[in-house]
Amino acid sequence: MSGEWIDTHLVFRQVHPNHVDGAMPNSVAFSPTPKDDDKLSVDDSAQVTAEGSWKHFTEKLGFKSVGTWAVSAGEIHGAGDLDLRKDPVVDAQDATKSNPAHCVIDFSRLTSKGQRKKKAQTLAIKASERGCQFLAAK
Amino acid sequence: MTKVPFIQPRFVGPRFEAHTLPLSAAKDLVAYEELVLELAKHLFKEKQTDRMRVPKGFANDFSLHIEKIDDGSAIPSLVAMIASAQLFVSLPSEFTEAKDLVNAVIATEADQPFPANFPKDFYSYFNRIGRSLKEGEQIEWTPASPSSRSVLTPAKRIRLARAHRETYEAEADVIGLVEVLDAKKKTGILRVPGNEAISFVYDDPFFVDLKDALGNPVIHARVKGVGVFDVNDRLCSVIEIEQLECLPHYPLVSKIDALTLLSDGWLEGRGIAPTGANLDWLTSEVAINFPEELAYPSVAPIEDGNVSFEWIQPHARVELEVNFAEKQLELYATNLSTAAFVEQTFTHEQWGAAFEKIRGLLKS
Repeated sequence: MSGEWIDTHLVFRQVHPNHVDGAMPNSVAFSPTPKDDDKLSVDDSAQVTAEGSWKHFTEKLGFKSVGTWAVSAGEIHGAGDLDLRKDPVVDAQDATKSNPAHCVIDFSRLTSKGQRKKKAQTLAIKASERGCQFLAAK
Repeated sequence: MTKVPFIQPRFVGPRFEAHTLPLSAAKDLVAYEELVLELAKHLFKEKQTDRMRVPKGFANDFSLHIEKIDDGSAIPSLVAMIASAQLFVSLPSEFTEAKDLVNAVIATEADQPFPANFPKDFYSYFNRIGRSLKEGEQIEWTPASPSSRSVLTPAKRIRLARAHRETYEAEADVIGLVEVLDAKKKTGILRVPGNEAISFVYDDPFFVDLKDALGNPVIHARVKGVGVFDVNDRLCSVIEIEQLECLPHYPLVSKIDALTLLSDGWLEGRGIAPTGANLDWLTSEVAINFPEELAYPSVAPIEDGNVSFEWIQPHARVELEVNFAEKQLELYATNLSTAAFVEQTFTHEQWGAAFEKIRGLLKS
């Protein structure tokens, strides 16, 4: 167990077309920026499918994604100094943009860019090992 | 010389709106002149069945000149020039008949039969007539005609060139590795992405560059010229090279070049696009400094406008972030097999040291 999560529990990450090399997502796809408040957006697999996560991201939010990759709660906590938390989104103005499955991987305990890079690379390796969970048609 | 008005084709398209004619389009008119001349000779021989040859002076002194270029896109006025010393005092009727027959061929739509008296072999002239046309452009050979303006478009040109052949000629622009070069025959083979082999012929001025690229896995050659295409529009060979450019580390440089398409907001409404100046600098640095024996990395833009090179292995990631603002190269490498993490910063001038370090990390 990793806090409230079972180690094998998966969370989904959407990957921008510029952040993938063949079937492998780049590390930057798993790296939050200061503008993200050091929080990486993911979706809870217990509440949405890999395809459903992609559809919400692209069709409801209007963002670009080539597909859905996943990391487990155990891998997130195993990387060290990362926290996985539920963070449901409620959009009062446009209910279609609400996302009860939304979670965040919190990088804010990491104090240097190097530490953040190390964790992002670790997550990218694990997500690549697992393989793409949903690939959008080209 | 006698001057006789002959035809006023109208070139339509953005390139012709300044009422000028690009030199490449003038080549089309040269091919048109050849077709009219040969067709007129053919028509004359058909009428004079007892003559094996056309009379002296029938064609030798015929030529088309551009007298002026009128407004209305570009309308070159072509006049037939006839030498006054020849037997004929005016333009032989076969030239006018040839012109009309060419117009009729061009006016033929896909569901209509071609004029029966146009020789099959002459369709190959359409490999050259209209070859300079780009998509959206056309030549109206009889723009004033109320019934048919004899419009030649790029698609119709290919249909005419292919009317009695399996292949057609068109402008080719292809990039590949120079695999074979035969200096005696002046031919070679280009291996293009997808592993297809494209044969080419070349002229002397291109030999030095082709020789430099021959067998060199890090120098691609970009060949622009005239290509032969099959029924599936697949390039089979390049029969004339007009421009040749050597592209060091093309697979990597082209990935960097692709980032010029990004605009601000590219990542979820945020994301600063790398500047053109930074990308130009990066491509030139990579072309000069990237080592031959190092695998090409993945290239990814970063939200802050920097660019990341990443070498991806099953249990490791090696990332070199090109930080334009700080003028530094930031190396981050994680290896889950050895539990090692490496972080090192280089200046913008230390490409060699950075790549050397990366090469070592990829071996470990």
